[in-house]
Amino acid sequence: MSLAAFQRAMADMAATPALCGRIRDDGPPALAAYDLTELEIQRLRSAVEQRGMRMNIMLYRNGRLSPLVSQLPGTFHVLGYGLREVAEAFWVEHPKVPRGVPGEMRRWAAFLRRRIAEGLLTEPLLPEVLDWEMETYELALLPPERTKASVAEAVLRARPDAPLRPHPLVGVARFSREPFAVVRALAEKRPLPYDHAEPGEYHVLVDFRGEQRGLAPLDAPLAAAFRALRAGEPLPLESATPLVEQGLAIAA
Amino acid sequence: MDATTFAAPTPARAQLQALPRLGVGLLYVPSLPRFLRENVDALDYMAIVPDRFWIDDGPGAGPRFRDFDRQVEMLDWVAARKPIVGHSVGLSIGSADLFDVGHVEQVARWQARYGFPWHSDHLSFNRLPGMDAHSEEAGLAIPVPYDREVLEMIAERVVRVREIVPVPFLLENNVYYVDLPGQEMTEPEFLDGLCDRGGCGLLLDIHNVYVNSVNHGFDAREFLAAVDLRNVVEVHIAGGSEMAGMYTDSHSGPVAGPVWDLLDEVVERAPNLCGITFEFEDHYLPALGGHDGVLRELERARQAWARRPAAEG
Repeated sequence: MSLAAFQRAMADMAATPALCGRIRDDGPPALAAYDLTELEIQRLRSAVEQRGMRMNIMLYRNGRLSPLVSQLPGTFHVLGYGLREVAEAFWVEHPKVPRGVPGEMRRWAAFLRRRIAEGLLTEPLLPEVLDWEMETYELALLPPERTKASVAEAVLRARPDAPLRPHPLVGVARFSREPFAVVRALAEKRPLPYDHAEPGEYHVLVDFRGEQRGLAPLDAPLAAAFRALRAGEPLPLESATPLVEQGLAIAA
Repeated sequence: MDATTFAAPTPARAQLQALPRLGVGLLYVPSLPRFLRENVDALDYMAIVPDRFWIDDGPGAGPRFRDFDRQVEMLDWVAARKPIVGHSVGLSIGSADLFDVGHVEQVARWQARYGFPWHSDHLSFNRLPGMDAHSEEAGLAIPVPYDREVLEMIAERVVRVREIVPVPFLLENNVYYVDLPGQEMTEPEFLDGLCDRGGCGLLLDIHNVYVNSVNHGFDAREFLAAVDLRNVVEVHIAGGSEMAGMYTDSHSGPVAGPVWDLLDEVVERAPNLCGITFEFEDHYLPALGGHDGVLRELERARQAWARRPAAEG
């Protein structure tokens, strides 16, 4: 049991800097929760005195953040200086690291959305940048070639009265400022263009059907129809037809 | 643990000697597809972290492992052209009270699927036993103490891995930032002991050796003189960066200068070396100088590869 307890303590120390502080200040009583030998206590007390322990703490934090940053760079740019506080609150609420990045991504997105709803994160463009990047991330999880093949097969096999469904490799995102200016500012890591980007109601297509990954504007009725279809709502023919014509929906 | 509780491994050195000498490879990162489509012949093989190509829903889930299909499509494309070598991160062979046979069986399935000539993992723990069948992630890879009890535990597991996956298994030496006092063995003694007791080979990460030598003040050449290089099948080379007063294994760009010198030395003295793998972190591709930078590192590695005594003969 002792080696397991030692490893648990080492991992807890990297995840919880306060524990390192308690070990430094209080000595062995701070490790009373772990079933350790004298040598293991000595090793852990030595560890907290070493600069390498600070490195372990940074690596732990970096290891949890970097997959999120790499997939949601714009969201992290918008969070800016607020990131540290938000990340620490997230780690307090979710101290355990899940297996696999998609789980952590969805948990992080849900956490941010809740804090936005609670008024704790007030940057106006944060919700839409987060939604756009999460939409992109979820579509990127799908295998493009196999998905396209299965769509083609499903369409071929479809009965004449087959229900309409959204194409699995497309999504839509909404922006309240001119999206090209917003995305350019995010890519160049500049401040968000509140003064330079025209406010309004913009919709863009997130499209993984081809090789191109650029933003394509989408008109509001088409975006609304796509969202309604995704939500499982019945669509009138005049809304469904342009979705099918543009390949955003398939009868399958 | 009683050292006699597991069967002595069959001699493994002959297995290592028979492995194909592949040459120079690259560890796959998600920014590489375009590079690979344009430059696949710059590589002799590609190393992959197989765990990053699947989603593990944990023991009890049916099926437990699901392919990350987008990445697998790319992998299939490369595998049709070049040998693939597996370098897992998910076994956590150093975890006390946790040995994930399901993970090893999944590695075996991938070995069969892609024909890895060998496969490897890290000599550390990054998982902890959970309250149920699911383990918890530790959040980082933490080296094991170099004690005899730990060596016996890991050697026994190496034997299990070798029983399940029918190709040689390598363990990678650690980078460590915390130096634990009172360890019973030096790192070279531990590595040699593990290869002898478990029958594994060594994936010698030369940058890890260099990082440790910088941070803990020893001579990397003395380390290389102390470790039995006959066990080395694959080497990793990489670059690092300064952070918080330490030199880190950040894979943040070109291979560190001193690592090239150490590599030349290893290549000349490791008779069973089969591959030199260049590693870089995905978002540091621009710091490398883009695709041209990757090609430069591979070309330099190829010069080192040409120094093999066998290559001269």
